[in-house]
Amino acid sequence: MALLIKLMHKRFIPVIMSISASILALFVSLWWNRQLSDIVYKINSGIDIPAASLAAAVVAMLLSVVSSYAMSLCSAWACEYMAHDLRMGFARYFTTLSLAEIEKVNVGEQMSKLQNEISEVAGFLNANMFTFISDLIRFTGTFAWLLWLNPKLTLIAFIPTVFQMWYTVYTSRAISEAAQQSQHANGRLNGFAESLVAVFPVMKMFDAVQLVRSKYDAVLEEWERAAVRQERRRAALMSPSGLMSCIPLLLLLAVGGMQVVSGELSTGGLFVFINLSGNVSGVMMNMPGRIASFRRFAVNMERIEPYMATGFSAAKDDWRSGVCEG
Amino acid sequence: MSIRVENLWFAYNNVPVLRGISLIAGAGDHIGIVGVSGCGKSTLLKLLAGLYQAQSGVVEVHGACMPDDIRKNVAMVMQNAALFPASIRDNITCGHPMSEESLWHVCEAAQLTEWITSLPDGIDTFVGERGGKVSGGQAQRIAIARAIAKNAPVILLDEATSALDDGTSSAVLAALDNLTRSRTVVNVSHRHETLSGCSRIYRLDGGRLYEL
Repeated sequence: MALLIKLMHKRFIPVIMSISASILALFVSLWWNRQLSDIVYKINSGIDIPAASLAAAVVAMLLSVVSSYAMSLCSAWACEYMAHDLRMGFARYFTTLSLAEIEKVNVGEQMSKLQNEISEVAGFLNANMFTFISDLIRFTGTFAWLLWLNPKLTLIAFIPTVFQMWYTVYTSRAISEAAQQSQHANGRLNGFAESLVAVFPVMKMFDAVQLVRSKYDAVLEEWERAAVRQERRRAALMSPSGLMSCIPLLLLLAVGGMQVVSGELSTGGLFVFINLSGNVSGVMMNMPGRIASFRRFAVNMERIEPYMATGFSAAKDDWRSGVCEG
Repeated sequence: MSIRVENLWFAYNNVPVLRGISLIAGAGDHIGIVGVSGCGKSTLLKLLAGLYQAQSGVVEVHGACMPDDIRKNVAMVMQNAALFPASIRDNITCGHPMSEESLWHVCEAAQLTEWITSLPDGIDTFVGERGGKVSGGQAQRIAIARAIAKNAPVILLDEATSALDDGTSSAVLAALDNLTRSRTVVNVSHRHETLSGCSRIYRLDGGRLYEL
């Protein structure tokens, strides 16, 4: 993950702006829920809602729109720069090789890296990276606030998530091993296909089509088996995780409902808990997939890291231009 | 007559490379062709190997004129031996049936026996993608073994010893000697001195052959 840290350090400003926008979005969301809680409480108690509360709700909605826009813009900005840095780092690596080293490079494998690993890393950066960070911020902030509001309800409703987290870590590790095997098999398949170009005249001359076809079929079947194994394992391990993620909401309704009946919690308070439970249990529900994709991302990063020319330490270069000094 | 080439013309994208080449080689003849890089030596060899089809003129090898038939009568060893991503055995037999005795006889002729017996997996050792797990000299001798195993009457050598260093060239030359003995050979090279064993040497220049 040293490469990811270098990338983020190099694009420090857009990264920090994205994280700041996420934190702003969290505070706006909590404030908006506070307003909602008040409004629900007043409606439930038959009290008139003052114009100031409505104005605050409108401001909260506007701020929510602005923070979401800022977060999308900054994260897209940061991700595109980081994906560009990765591709340039990969290209720059080949310019550092000696002629003898270049001659040994397997074009098929390198193309496979560019088309698979780097594309997947760039795809993860664009689609998941800041969503993942934003989820973590939402989860931490919301959980802390709910804990402050009602520790008993929060702990009872969300303690099962600890077991879910353990399960998530276990499943993602198992999935990552299968993903690594699948990628290795895919690299071999692409390398084989590339080497066919070099051996084509020999294949014709020595009538070796059957031999090459049988070898290619063997490599293809190895990749097929690895890919099927990966998908089977993912499906088997992630299905129970989805089921487990419903437990917090059920506990919230049961325990929170009893607290409302006994007068320990207002209806508005329970509404806030249910409304924000998505920030805790919802994040947890998506966590297996997110961690699995993060692990795949980490595996891809490890595979491409040796092929990345240094130069990421040149943090002084103009981050707006995307031009690297290294 | 082992090789007969008459008024052979060949062009890449309307740029002529070979202009009216004629060549005759009898059984057991060793023909050498020299020429600078890019003069068309390898193109001529690929035409003799049945890998390319003549655009005009005649190419006849061991009585065959069609590329598919020509390929059955020739074996070729190139400068950078192209190996299949398979075992040494598969690279020599090319998937065709061959007895163990014949296989080891071929390995002996190609100076491979000592090296192969020292390998943990022996003749079933995987050579890697593009022969990445064996040295240049070893790869070249595997390619020579493949050509010996084919037992073709005509042998084509395309700069077969150009990429070798002094340490490996003697073993490869001994293997080549076993390969080419009593066969018709066309050996192309950009260096005149590597064609010392040839009975006739031609220079390919401007798409035409000149006997030296």
